[in-house]
Amino acid sequence: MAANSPDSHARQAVRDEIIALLPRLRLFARSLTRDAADADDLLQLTVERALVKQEQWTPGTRLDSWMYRIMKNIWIDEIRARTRRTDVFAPESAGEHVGAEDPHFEKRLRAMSVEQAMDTLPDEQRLAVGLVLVEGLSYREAAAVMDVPMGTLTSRLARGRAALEARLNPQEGSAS
Amino acid sequence: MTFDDETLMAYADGELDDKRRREIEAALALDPELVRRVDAHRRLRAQVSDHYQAELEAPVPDAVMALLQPAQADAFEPESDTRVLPFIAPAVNDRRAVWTNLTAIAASLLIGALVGSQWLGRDSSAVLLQPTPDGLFAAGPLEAALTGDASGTTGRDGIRMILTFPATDGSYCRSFTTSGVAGIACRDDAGWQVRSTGSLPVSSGGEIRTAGSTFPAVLLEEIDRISAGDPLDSSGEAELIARGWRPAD
Repeated sequence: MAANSPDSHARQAVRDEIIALLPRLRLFARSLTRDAADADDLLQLTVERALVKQEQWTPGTRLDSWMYRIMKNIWIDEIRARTRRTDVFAPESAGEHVGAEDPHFEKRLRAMSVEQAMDTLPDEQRLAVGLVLVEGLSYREAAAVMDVPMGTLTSRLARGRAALEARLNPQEGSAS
Repeated sequence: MTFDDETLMAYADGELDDKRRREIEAALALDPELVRRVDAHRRLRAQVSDHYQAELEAPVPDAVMALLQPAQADAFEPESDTRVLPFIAPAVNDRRAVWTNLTAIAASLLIGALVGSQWLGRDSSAVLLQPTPDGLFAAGPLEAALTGDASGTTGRDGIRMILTFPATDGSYCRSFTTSGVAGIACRDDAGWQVRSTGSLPVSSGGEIRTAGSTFPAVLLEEIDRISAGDPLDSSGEAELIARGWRPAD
């Protein structure tokens, strides 16, 4: 059976590794996109491209970093461009709600506001926040995925977080 | 000494070297405002990561899994390297097989993902895992459930104890599930050390199944490997709970 060739085994090993990475890749996709459908599209495009370009990945290097980078590029080139064209909504401040009698409502509102706040970030800040806060990458790993020096990653992350803090917790972000 | 926001952020994220970390910790002891700024970084991190954490529980779309199905792709693989990649969904639709495969490989990686983004960094009441130099230990509601809940019950936080068994190293271990995640924790003097975790299969409706049969196979094998005998029955377990998990004399 052809499946027993060494080449096929190598391919299978990579596929298995990709399967193991899917939950994390999906989380990253979700942190970059506005809705679950876009995230699934992004995940699918990323996996397709990784399979096509499989030969370009160097065994022994981090497959996850390689795939994060593929996803980042697809998001910037394709998904982001697509959603920008249809961008008609303005994020609202989360500080105005009064649904204290319904904790679920408040939770939902707050949850929604995380995505709205993420949506207001410039691309490079959103990537930094997604990789570090959502994916849990170290600064060094995130910088490598974004192909930027550590200092650049750190400043993008700090600016992204300051913007999120101002939107999500406006009363706490200022003096208290 | 003053610290800029990027430094405090890096401290909150555990990214500073020892020297800088000690400088900040010395300053934190004297400056409540500094404490507040570090807390704000931690809180925001938890807020963002908690929001997306729920995504880990949803099943990966069939179309994506189909891309990665091995059987069909390899069965038709030509001798040369010109084969067409399996972009068309093969007729394999056994999600459980896929998930078993996934959990087997994912278990070791998942713990990394969890530590990074899911279980850590929330406000202290909801932290489930505490990293220490000796390993990962259960904290908060997970620690409470491991210590006090009978197997087969699901606690307020959705943490379900599956069974209790003696381990070959003389400790007692318990298997448990919580949203989307299954694990094994063993009791030692320092608390409940979480030895392994894996992801739980998800039904098509998006609901987590907690029946014993869906406990990740890789963790069942792990239990087989470290177990020194049969799981405890309910009275044996109740006795252990009553005496705070101290071995019998």
